[in-house]
Formats: sequence, C-alpha cells, structure tokens
Amino acid sequence: MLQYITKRIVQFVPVFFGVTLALFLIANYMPGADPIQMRFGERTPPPEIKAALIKQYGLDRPWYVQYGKYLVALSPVKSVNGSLQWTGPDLGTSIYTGRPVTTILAETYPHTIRLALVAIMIEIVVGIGAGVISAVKQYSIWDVLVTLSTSILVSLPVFWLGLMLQYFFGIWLKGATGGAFYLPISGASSPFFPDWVHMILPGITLASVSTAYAARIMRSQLLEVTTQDYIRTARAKGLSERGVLWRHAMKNALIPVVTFIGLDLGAMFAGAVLTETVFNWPGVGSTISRAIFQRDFPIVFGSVTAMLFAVMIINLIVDVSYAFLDPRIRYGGAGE
Amino acid sequence: MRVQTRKWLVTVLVVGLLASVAGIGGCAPKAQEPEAPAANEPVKGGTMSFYIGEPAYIDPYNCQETEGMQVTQALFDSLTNFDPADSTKVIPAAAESWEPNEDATVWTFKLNPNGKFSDGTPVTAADFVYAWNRIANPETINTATGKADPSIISYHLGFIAGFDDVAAGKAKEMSGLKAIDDLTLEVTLSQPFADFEYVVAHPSLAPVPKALVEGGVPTGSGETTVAYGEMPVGNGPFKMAEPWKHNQYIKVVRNDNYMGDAAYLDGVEFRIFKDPETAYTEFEAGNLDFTQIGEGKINDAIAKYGESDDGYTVAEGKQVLLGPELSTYYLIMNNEDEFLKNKDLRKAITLAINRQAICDTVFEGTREPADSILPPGMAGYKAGAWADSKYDMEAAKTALEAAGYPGGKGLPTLKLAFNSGGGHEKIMELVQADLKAIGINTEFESADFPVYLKQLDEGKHQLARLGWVADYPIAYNFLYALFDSKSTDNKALYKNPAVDEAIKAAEKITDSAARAEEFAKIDATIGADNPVAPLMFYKHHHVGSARIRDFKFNALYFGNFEKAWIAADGAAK
Repeated sequence: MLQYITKRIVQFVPVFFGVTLALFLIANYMPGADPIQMRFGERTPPPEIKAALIKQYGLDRPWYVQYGKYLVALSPVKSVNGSLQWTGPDLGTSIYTGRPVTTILAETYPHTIRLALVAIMIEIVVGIGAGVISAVKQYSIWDVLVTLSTSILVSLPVFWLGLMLQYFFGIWLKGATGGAFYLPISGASSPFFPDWVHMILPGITLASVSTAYAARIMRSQLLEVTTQDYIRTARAKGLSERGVLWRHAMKNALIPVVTFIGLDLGAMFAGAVLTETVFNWPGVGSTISRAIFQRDFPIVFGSVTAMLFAVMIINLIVDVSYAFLDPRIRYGGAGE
Repeated sequence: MRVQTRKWLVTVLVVGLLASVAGIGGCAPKAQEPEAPAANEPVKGGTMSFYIGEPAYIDPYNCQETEGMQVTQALFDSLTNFDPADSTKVIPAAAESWEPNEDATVWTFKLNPNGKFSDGTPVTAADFVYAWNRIANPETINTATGKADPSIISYHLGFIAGFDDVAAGKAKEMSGLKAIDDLTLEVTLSQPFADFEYVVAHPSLAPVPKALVEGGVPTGSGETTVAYGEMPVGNGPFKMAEPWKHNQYIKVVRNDNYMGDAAYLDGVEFRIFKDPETAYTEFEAGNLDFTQIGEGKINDAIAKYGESDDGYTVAEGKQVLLGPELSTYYLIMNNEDEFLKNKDLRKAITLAINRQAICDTVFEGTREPADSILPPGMAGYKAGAWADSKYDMEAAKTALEAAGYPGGKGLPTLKLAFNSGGGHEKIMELVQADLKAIGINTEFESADFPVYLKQLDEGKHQLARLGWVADYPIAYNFLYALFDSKSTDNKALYKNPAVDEAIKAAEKITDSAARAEEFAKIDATIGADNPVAPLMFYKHHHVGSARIRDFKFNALYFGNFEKAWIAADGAAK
C-alpha cells in the first residue's frame, strides 16, 4: 500500500509542473494580460505608479523567472539568513487588493470545503439511497419517481434551481407564514439563523445534479450486479435478500459510484462558481472567477496550486478506498 | 411582525372603546394622546443593511472604487464634505473653515477643535499631513502584508507642491504640506486650483492616526490587534465594530466620539454580495435595506415600491431611486484621424445617434440621453450645452453633406470599437444602425478591456466608446481629463490651446459660482467642436426599504448614513 501511495505521489509531480507551467505561459502570452490596468478601470494610470506596480509584482521579468520565483516561494522550507527554516508556502500577494493569497485562500477555502462536504453527504445519502430503492423495487412507483425526478434534476440549470429555491423558501414561505418560517437565502452566517441552516439551500443546489447522476449510476450498477452468478450462488446458499444486497451486491455495485462521487468531490473542492454566486457563498470558486476576470494572477496561480493538491489527495483516498470495497484490487503487487 | 400587528389591533380596539365611552359621556375632555414620537421625527436605534460588492480597500490611502468608498465615507470625515442637499456644493467637515489666497495657490484649513478619532485621540493637522504623504509615497506599506503597495489614487494630490518629487522617490514628504499648528493645515499648490476645496472632500483624503496605521488596531477582544487596513480607525460618524469579514460583511457602529451630531442609526451593516441579483432577492425577501435593482426589473420595482420624488431620497412608498449619477457614457471620435478630423463629419455622427432609443430599449430608462459631456448635478452643467448632442436626422444629413460626403459617398467604412463583455455590443448595434441611416458604414472592432485600452493609447482608433465617472462634482474633473491637450485620458486627441488656457484660467477664480459659469462656457466651446459624442448619463437604479427614513444616496454614490434613521414601526429586519 505504501509503495502504491508513493507511486501516486511521484505521478503527481509531472501533473503539477504541467498545469502550473501551462498557466504561467497563458498568463504571459494571452492578449490583454495587464492586471495593473485592470485596477485603474477606464482611467489611464500615471506611468510612474504603473511602473512601480509592475516592478513590485515582478511582471517585468520573463515568465521563466516569474515561474522560478513562484516555485521557490511555494516551497514551505526556505533559507532565511543562511539557515533553512519552515516558513510555510508563500503564494504571493493579490494584485487587486494587496492581500496575501494564502490569507485569501484561508478565508475562502474552509467555506468551499464545508459546502462540498454537505453536498457530498446529500449525494451519498439521497443519491445512493434513491438508486438502491429504485433498483430493488424495479418498475415500482418508487422506481418511476426516482427515474423521473433524476431526469428533471439533471436537466435543470443549477442557477435556476438555486433561484427557485430562494424564491420559494426565502420569499414565498416567509410571506405565507407571516415571517414565522423561512430559510436564509444568501451568505454563510447571519444573526437570525445558526450557521448550518445557511448551508441547506446551497447544499441542495450544489448536490442536485450529481445526486441525480449518483442515483442513476447506483441503480444501473445494482441491477447489473444482481444478474451475476455469484449473487445467484449467494441466494442459493440461502442468504436472506437483505444479506445478498448489502453483503454481496452493494460492495461491487458501489465502486463506480464511489469513483463518481470522489471525482465530484474533487470538482467541488475547486469551488462551485454558480452556486456560490447565487447564494453569495464566500467560497473559493467565485474568488477565482473574479481573479480570472481581473487578471489577478497570483490568486489564480495560488488557488490552482491549492486545488491541485486537494484533488490529488482526494483521488488518492478514493483509490485507497477501492481496496476496502473490493479485496480483489490489490495495490503495489505484481498482478496490478 | 404578527405580534406587533395584534398589539396594534388591540390598541386600536381599546382606544376606540375609550373614545366611544368618552363620546357617550358627552363633554368629557378629549382622551389624551400618548406621547409617541411623531412619525416623521427621527428616532435613535436600529441597524441599516446596505449592499456592496467586496471592496478592494477600505484603508483610505488606496480607496478607489465605490464599494470601499461607501465604507470609508461612513468611517471618516475629510476636510470638507459634499453637501448632501446639493452635490455641487461643499460643506465643512473636519475643517470648520478654509480660505484660499488670491490666486488659489495657498489654502489654509482651520480644523474643528472637537475633531477626534473614534478611539478618542484628537485629530490634528499632522494627521492630514501624514495621511496625504502616505498616499503620495510610492513606498507606502500595505498594512496587511507589510510590503510596499503604492496608492493608485495619488493623482488626487497631484497639484500639491512637491508631489512630483515624492512620487519620483526623491523626497518622502510633500514640501507644500504644512501643519502650522495642531488645528491649522496649510497647503501650497504648484498651480492655481480653485476647486481644491472639492478635491479635499474625497473620502480617501481623510486623516489617519499614525500610531494605529503603523502599530495595528486593537480589536477589543483581548490583546489582539489587526492590520489597520482590516479595521480602519477614523474620525467619522461611525466606527468599525469588528475587523472586515471578507466576502461577507463590514459592520460599523455609531462613533460616540464623533464631533458632529451623533448618528441616529446604531450601525450600518455593509453586506457584501458577489452578485447584485442575489442582493436584490434578499431585498425582496425583506432582509436588506438598500440595494441595486436587478437587471430587467426596474419597472417591476417601480410598480412595487414606488419612485422617489427627487431620485435620491428614499421615502416610504417612494423607494426606487433613479437620479442621475455624475458619469457620462460617450463615443470618442479620433480628432487626429484623417476623416474624423473633419468637424462637420463629427457633427453629422453625433446628430445621427438616437440616444433616447438606446436609453429606452437597452436600459429600461435607467439612463438619460446626454446633452453635454458634463452630467447634471455638476457645477457648470447647463441643459443642452452641446447643441449637436441630440437626435436630428435631417441636420445630420446636412452636416454630412457639408463635410463633403453627401449620403456618405466617399467615406470608407469606419471602425467602431468597444470593449467586449460589458454589454456594449447592444448599444453599438443601435449606433451602427443610426449611422447607417445617414449613409455612414461602420464595422465593429471589439477586444478585451486591457487590450482595448492599449489600442486607444496607440491612437489608431476611429470611433470608440468610453465612460467617465467624476471623483468630485466639478467640471474640471471632466473637462481637463477628457479634453486638455496634455491629459493622458484625452483619448479623442482633441487639442485646442484656447481651451487649455481657459481651463487653467478658470481655476484661478475663487468664487465658485463665477467659476462654474466659466466652466459652462468652456463646456459649450468644446461642445461646438464635437470632439466626442456624449451618449448617455448614468442613473441610479437603486431601491431602499420602506422602514428607512431620510436616507439620501447622492449623485456621487454616497449615502448619508449619519442622517438616516429607521422608523420604529418598520418591518422586522
């Protein structure tokens, strides 16, 4: 197992260099990549101030020098006054706000992770649950309901669903109950509700499409698995239906679902721009989209770096979890 | 809410009963009115919630966009203030009086002796000197990072003697800035500038306490301090309640050390939204007191909330603000282009554009056709100052003929440029159709914003759009920037030595009314040349809740939080 993990980490190295290098090249060669001008809007910046800012952010240096500096700053161990010290990674300073990128990420990332975890919980509980029910009770009214509702959910635009939830739970319900009951429709906290209540609507919105997919994958996998020989054998052994389902069928049927949910979690860790925007969720997704628009490259580089590491770790966890679901999958052995 | 309604019902019933009993009693004295404050008397208390986007800075030294400025102007008082009743005037703020010398080169400001920062330390002239040098010095430290982060708004101080030396790194302090004593600030300018009293009203030119800027601000909980930029301490009617919660909110509360009248509001919660549409949904849900109206919802909002009488003040049932802002959307015509240097051609173009149609079809009436480059609400604005800035097809055709291109004959296809992604294409399509109607063919040329500006800098453009927003309500702010031969923002490349001279001379006139009159003349002179085609004035598209009173959101985008109050019987939140 350890060997396998090491191998995956080594595999990550070219991915890291590939992605960051591509980003630096894009940033330097894309037309209009002038983050300093973006700060001045339609005004012409005084040349001396513009020059000072360009120099300060190292934008006057060739891209490879900028890239080298970025790599050095990223290293958590640096030489300070001749001796190596743990300084933590330095992701630079936002050009637009002059604040450290690590601070900005530390403020926004926890919100993204919280929301992603809520959405994943919904995906796991509702998605897998609905998939199992509709597979076990195939062609029943429940199956029809799940199939129908997942089809609708998959085709709904996320922001539209978000808006509808806001109108229903935030405005209509508030009016209908005379303000006695409603849900918060934006932000991560308010004096009127505990913080977790703020996660309900964005959580549902973010989870909606993936939950529907998870349910569909779960259903089809379970139906496929139950036609296999070993399930018949298990039934022939006299195992109860419940035992067959949970001990034998589920374990195998879950693998593609876990892969899907793992990939989805990775995507959510990269921030959910639409959900975050509609619900004004202070996560990293909208911070990045704003940074891209403003050509605030340090934020873009910093958050992509953070995401690369996050996705790598999640993929690793997903891969490792296969071993627990399916003992036939072994890591590091000659048979791999 | 429901409880309150019931209470009210019970009260009505009881009072009604008493009244009828009194009536039966015949000549019993009239039941005494309870001593409740009259509905239009301000009451203290309550917090107003106000929509902003995430500011870039709220530290005055680098406060530029409207988002941060809302907060800064609640936290700080600059030397003067724009008069909320008439934005073309300035009123005393941190300075109780001021006086220029004869040619407006030396300004003496007398500070209000009661001026204090919210931590209780008195505001002195030295605090202004420190604050302004901080803005001018390109080595100024960003308090959040401890690294140099030059102010991008130092141009406000460009006229102060010695500014250039500080900007160039040759000096640390501007020679024209002197604290004569604690309460006297003397500012020497490098050239006459009679509008300086407006410049010093800008929120970014407020005094800052050196000790806290350099040492950090105590948060009030334990021994912890935060960077000044996260929790600025100022001398304004409000103070920060807690450090800036990025991407979420900025809370300010009443400053009890304020020299002026104490604010009625307990505080203002600036709620930070990524998208004004979400803010408007929150407003509709009754959770927000002031916001922008979402796109395409103006008419719906007017039907629901009523339109404000003056366009700037929120009153119950008249809550939608549509007053003009101090900004103009215009079409540049490159005055050095081989075709567009022809004055009659420029005249034909500006006459051919149906501005009203653009305002109505693209903006639901939230813009106003421009009849001058100076927007209304600015000293020097005169309605119809640019005689050709109106839609007149016949006159346009005549002008085109006079230009030597009857029906557009002999004129090549002109390039019509705009920056992509800002919704300008819809406007430019209408402009294109209007020009085609008199025989001028155009082709679109669009680029990303920074590329677009670079192209304008290179001066190869023909027709191109731009917008200009005033920092202060003075004509100089528009006319110098856009039309002076030496101004870098003069993208029309208009060069008229007589105008350059006149602008310079007008800034020697210390009487503000006479100066405004002079600028009106200059505006008309420029207008006669049609160096650009003013298209639209921007207008507010904001709405306030029914419970806020006396809240004014002026043409410069500033809210008078210090005078606003919340009706006691207002909605719950």
